[in-house]
Amino acid sequence: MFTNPLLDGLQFAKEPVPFIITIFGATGDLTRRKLIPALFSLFLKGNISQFKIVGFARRTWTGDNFREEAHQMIAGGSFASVPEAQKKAFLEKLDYVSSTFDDPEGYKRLAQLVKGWEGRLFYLSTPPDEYEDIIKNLGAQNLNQSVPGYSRIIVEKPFGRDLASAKELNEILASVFDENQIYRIDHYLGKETVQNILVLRFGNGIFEPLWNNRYIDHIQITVAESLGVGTRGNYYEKSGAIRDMVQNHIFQLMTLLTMEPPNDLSPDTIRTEKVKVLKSLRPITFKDVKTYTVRGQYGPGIVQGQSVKGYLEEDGVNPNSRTETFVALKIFLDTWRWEGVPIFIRTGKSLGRRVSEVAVSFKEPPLHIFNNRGSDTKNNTLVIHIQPEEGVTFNINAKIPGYTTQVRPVSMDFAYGNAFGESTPEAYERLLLDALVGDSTLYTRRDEIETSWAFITRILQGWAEDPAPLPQYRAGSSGPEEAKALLSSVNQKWRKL
Amino acid sequence: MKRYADPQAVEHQLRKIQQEISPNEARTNLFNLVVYVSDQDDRLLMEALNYLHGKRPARVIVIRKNHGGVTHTDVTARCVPDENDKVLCIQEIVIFSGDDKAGEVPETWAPLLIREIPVFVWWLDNLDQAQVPQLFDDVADRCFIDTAFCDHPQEFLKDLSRRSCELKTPLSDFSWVRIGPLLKLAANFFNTQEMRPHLHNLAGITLQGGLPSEALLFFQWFRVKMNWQGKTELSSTEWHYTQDEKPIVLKHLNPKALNRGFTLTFETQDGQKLELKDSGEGYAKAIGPALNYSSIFKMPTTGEALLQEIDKNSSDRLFLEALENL
Repeated sequence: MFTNPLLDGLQFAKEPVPFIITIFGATGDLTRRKLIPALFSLFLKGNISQFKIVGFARRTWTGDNFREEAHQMIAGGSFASVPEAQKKAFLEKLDYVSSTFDDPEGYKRLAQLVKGWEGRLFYLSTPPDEYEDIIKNLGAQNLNQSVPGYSRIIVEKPFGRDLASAKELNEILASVFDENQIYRIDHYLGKETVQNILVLRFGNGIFEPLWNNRYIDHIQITVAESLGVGTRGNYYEKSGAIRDMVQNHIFQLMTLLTMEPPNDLSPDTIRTEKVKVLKSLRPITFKDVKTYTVRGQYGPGIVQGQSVKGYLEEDGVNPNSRTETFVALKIFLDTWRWEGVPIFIRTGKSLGRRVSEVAVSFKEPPLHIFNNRGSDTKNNTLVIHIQPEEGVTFNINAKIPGYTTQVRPVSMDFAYGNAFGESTPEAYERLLLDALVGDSTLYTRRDEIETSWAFITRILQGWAEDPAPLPQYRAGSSGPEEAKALLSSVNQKWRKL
Repeated sequence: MKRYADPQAVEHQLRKIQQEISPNEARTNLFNLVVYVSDQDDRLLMEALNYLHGKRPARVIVIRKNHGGVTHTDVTARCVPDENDKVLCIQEIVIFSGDDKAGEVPETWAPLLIREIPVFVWWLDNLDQAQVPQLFDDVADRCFIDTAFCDHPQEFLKDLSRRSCELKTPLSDFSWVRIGPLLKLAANFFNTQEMRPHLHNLAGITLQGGLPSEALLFFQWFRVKMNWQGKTELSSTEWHYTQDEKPIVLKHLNPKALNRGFTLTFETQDGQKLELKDSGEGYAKAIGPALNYSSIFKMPTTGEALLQEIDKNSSDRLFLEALENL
């Protein structure tokens, strides 16, 4: 076995071995908007060089059709100025298999294409009801075998819609692939600021001593969208805010924010710490659902200066729908570190502003020596902004210049993207590259999925038994009035959107 | 007593200019960059600063060497608003170093630095007689040079190699930064299982293209990584080493800037030739029987090299290794 000493120390620790990636559902929107542009971007940056991309879908395209379509996918935006020769060099690496997902013949043709490649990555970019056929057919053609090289599979969300369906999907996957071959993607984890949570917490000595119930009063996690469901009414009806955002994206944020310091950055160390957080979630039982959760559904209103429809009037939505478009939760972690610290979560559609952020609110000083002098001191808050602008703000109290000791809050602001002044890479680029090199840190493990579903499923069951009408909120507002009550119990308010 | 640069006046002027260009809030400067430059290299500096503009807010102090006349200072700023209407500025202080060379000593410009943020000194000038980086040990966090600016890069690098354990200020060589993609290209080329045996059976490498400093650093890196034995001779375009007593010959031909094209030819002990050629269209291709390899190949511009180094905290370990036993 010959080694390659030239690789030592070069800054491309993430250079994958020659690989072939098969995209199931290659004619879909995700391939067009995210996957092909991400792969092209990795190619342009020199991160990948020896590879083949195979589109696999029902549409009766040829390889030429796929290449023509892919050419359109990399024609505009930041790729507009890329020389045609480079685009051509990339497109030459594309091929296509036209087949239904349940036809073994298609997989036999795929097996021929895959033969001889050291790395084999399969990307399921299809509706979840196709997963079983694809997984079983891959197994039938031995495409799950990792010798020689590797075989890996990326599965897009949703990973089930409750604990039972998540377990069923995991069983199907496990019948063909080992857990270390399975990459469950949550694109939120590919975002720079989300990854920066780890750096902020464990790369700076100042925060860790304060990161516990002695100093932290409460935490607010907000993922607010200004858009309604738009054309995704059909999908959203089966999902709702808690499945669409909380079980996956928001729980990922919450675990990174509250996990214990890992010993190292290996995928399993980090994921094990994340699972410990999920396991420590205090269950919201049937009788507690009304105390700790608030649902809502948007009605007509004005968003960003424009009048918009209510949820029940959206295309594909049942006029009697009880699907929640807003959810707020008050949760607790039963650990020494977090005992008694409420974590407030809210997410919703058609809210006043698109904002994703985590706000860690610290306790007030033990003695308020300035407050009787007409000062307006506030809790120190560390805000990690995720969208629209990535960055970190720390709110502190400072003296107003003058002869009196008047104090007011000011902020120390670090705008991540703009301080560095350049755009951060697309989440899919990072995540695809990680899967290609076998780094599953930013992917979700089976026990993470099932533990989070166990918590969410209890809430879903509680809601299913609750006949009360869903609280409504005006599109463009901050959500239903009822959500305010969650925070008033700790004498706090939601942060302004 | 002469005053070459008045820190208070400079700060006042910068605030005023910035306010005039953009009344909006400015992003905090991330670093100081001090550049020593002669007029003939002005184009490279402008190119680099244009690239930096809008990417990193910074204070840049330019020392114009050998300007003649009396040493004096000029202040300017360029700003660009971001999507939140805050501005990213490059604050530029230019010190025209006169006949007395007063502008060149750190004492003149050090009071103009913003404290608590890193200081990078970029020597964009001939290196042969320069006291780099030791001249800046007290003020700089890192020092950037380019050994392409040496008349005798081998001598400079050899001297640097000799002094490497005494250096207090981490050093980066832009010649080394420029060959980064070439190192990766070569490492990747030999990375497949079929190619690896060839790597351990080389009889020679010929690099056509590239500047002498780039070729020397490339070959040194290769030699160190492959643990080839032998002494590197000065002032030569051909080097002889051995591996397991088999001779290996490294040749540099047709020196020219790497971005004007190159061909890298690897010859094996059994006479097989494996060639990597810059296509001139943004990627490199392997040429030879049964070779199917192409990869994006893009040399960093001076601006890209500068940005890359500014974002690092220390010298590249591989660069220091390549200097060993030179």
